[in-house]
Amino acid sequence: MQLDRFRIARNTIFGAIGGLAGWAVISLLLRFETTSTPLLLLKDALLGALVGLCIGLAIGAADQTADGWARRKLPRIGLSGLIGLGAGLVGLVIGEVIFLWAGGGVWPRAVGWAIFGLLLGVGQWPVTGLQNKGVYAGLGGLLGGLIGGATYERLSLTLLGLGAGRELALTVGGAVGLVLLGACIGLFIGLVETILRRVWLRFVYGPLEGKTFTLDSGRPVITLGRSDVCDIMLRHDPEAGAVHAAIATSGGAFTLTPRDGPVALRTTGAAQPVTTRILQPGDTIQIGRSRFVFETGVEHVGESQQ
Amino acid sequence: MKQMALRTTLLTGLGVFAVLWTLLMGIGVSGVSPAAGDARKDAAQFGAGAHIMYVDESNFPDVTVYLAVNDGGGQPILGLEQAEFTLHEDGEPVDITAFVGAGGGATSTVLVIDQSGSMGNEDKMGGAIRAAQGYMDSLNVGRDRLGIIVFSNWSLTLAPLDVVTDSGRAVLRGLLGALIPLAGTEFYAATIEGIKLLDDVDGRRVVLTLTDGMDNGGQARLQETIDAALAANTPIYVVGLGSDVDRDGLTQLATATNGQVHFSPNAAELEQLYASIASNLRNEYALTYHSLTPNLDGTRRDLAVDIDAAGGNISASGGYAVGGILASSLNLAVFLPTLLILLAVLVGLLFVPGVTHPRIRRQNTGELAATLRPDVVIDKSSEPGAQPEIIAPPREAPRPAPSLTCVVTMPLAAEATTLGSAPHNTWVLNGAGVAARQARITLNSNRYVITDLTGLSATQVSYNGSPEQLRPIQQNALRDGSRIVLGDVALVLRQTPTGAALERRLPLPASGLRIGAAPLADITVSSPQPLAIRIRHDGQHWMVECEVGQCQVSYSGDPAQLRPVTQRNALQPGSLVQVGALALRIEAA
Repeated sequence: MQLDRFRIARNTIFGAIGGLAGWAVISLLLRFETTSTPLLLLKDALLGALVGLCIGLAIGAADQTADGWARRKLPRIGLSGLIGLGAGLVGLVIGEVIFLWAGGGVWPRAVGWAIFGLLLGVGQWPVTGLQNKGVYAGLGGLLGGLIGGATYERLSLTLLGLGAGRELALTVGGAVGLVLLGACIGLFIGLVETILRRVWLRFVYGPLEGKTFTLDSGRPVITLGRSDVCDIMLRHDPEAGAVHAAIATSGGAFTLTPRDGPVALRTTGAAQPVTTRILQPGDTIQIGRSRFVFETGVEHVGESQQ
Repeated sequence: MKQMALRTTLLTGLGVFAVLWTLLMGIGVSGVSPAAGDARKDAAQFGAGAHIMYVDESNFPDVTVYLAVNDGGGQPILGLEQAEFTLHEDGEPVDITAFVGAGGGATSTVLVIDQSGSMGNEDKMGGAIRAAQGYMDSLNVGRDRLGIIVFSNWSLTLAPLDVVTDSGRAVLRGLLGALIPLAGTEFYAATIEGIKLLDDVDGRRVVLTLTDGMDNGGQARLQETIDAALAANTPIYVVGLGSDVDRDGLTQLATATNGQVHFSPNAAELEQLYASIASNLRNEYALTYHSLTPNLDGTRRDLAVDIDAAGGNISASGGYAVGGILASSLNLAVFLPTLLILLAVLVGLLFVPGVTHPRIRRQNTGELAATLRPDVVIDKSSEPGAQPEIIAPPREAPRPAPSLTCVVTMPLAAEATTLGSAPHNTWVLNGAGVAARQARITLNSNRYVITDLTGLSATQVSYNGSPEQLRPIQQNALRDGSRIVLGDVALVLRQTPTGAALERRLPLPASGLRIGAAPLADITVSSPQPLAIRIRHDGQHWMVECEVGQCQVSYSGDPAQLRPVTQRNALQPGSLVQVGALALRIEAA
């Protein structure tokens, strides 16, 4: 296991920007006052949908564009946003019902947001087609929602208690609270994924240096290359082929196959040119000018399948 | 398996952290429960003064505040007028839209009475019955509502909640008198039933529950009861009879639901206690106002009441809160700065090196790239005599060769350097119009001088290097930067403190350049050994190939990194190739 702090930081910042965008959108669009509970629930549905859309888009963008932007990624990011919209709508209404039923407080708000985060995270499953990712992200969203919601509540109340005035307290508290909420969801999705994942590629040299990409047995083939159609785009590597190589998974083993270009691989000692090769943990692979290490969270790849 | 354990530990740690964080955030937050003032444990504790007993915000933004005003003996003060009350919400005075004086309001009560087996001792059952009958008699016929639940192992609704009538009172009096002690104590279940009876009632309501023992189910249902009461905004008034009661549990139930708790050691005192509770409840003042902040924004509103009565100024404080799990409001003066500051910080963080991407390496990346490139010779100079290793043949589709320039540097000899096309010259120049023996450069008292050897002034020199100043010479002084043209070969003198050299720039055709001793080479260099070096584009990369003999290559261009190459090595713009005394540098065209 190796924490990818760059990815975690990126997810966190993207999530925070999503939360901030959500706050800005609801501040601008949903200013109507509600004085009755049915209207309040309707407003909650709209609030949750808009915030969820923004955070979903941000989380999706953070996850999908680690290796660069490509137009083909738009549908997935949009799907993440839509799932965020649904999760936010349902999550916030359920949260409000709990909040009202319990007579309010930190816990009901935190639980409400945790449901929102859970649904948002699990939404990464249909977005990426990876079940594991949905589980990681769901757990991350649950914890992140708990922390973000509790902090939101506390911050608003503290500002109110300082005599800041309701308008200022709710504006600033809402902004910081939603930024924290998005950041927590992003942070925990990243953190939990890097803790739970079993197999990944870590780039140690080249345009993607420092980044990691989780391999999942749910996706049979991962392609690497300079073309936009590749799962891992080596766009800024001048020496990478269009679809330079592919990593296929079956039966718990990951097989590397060169396609449009030569691939060098080093297990120990000197690098050797390879044709098709079952990857072992610690193998260093060179494609064009990019070099990456095949890493696993357990001793043997074969054990990584439950 | 260690990894699994580590993962489990980390995940558990994260979960614990999240829960602890939420707990930490919850410290000192009273929540949004319709809290009145401080919960009172005993009637004696709310003696003189005013107390907010109950806040009914079910018709929000119209809010009704129920206020008990007592004299020094704990007895209700009656007859205060609306004008004597001033009500503040969050410090702002509000208009009281409706006022109900002491004794003028309607109350709803559910009496929950223990009839467990232990109630048979010491006339507890009789005391409880008399207390309940007395309470019922004190209610206003046609206005107040009453419901009665009795419980032992089960709960029985003796009377559903209804407006008190004379005939109903007579029937209930008889039913109560027939109660006999039975079986166990399901106290919390019965209390929850009492809360349910009050579900659809507006206004001042209370569950008055009596028990003489521990709940058979223990405290497991305590929280459930509190949750139900809070959700319904119904205070629980608890009376513990005798010494067997769970004092902590009962106190917690009353405190958490903004009710009251009374402990009565014997049955004889019950009647007086119930009468007192009824009197206090009946004589509360009800003040209704329209909230100044009618938005359901999930925040608490603080209430303060001042009573300017004849006996002096007394006040009470409390508050309530409303639903709204996420509020949205727009105050542009706050919105724009907040948005811009947070956005700038977050977007800025994305671009700070070392946060979301590694810091840019300061070391020479070109050299690093070469070490593992699949089509590049691995530099094994650390092992003398080892053969360089080609680790993968290029298999990509041919790519057009980028146009490059080769800068050839020919050092000048210490005494005299001859230039010409014939092999015996110091530097052999292959080019049209170059004479077999064309020119000689000598060093005279620290000055280089060129002499045309053809006798025809075929050599042209520009002393200052400008092409416009080129002119045929017989003999001419040279300095750093001077240009020499022989036939179609152009040379520039480069003078450094350590020596001087002639520089020749050649475009690097994709077909490549040959360097060697052979007359057919594009660049000739004298060598005691056979030598044939080729620089060409192999369809993928610029390469230097040692067909015969060897050369030295620095991929990065750093002369300190020159390494012997006997087979082939990739080149890039900036790379340096040393063949004997001849130095070639590859440059972008």
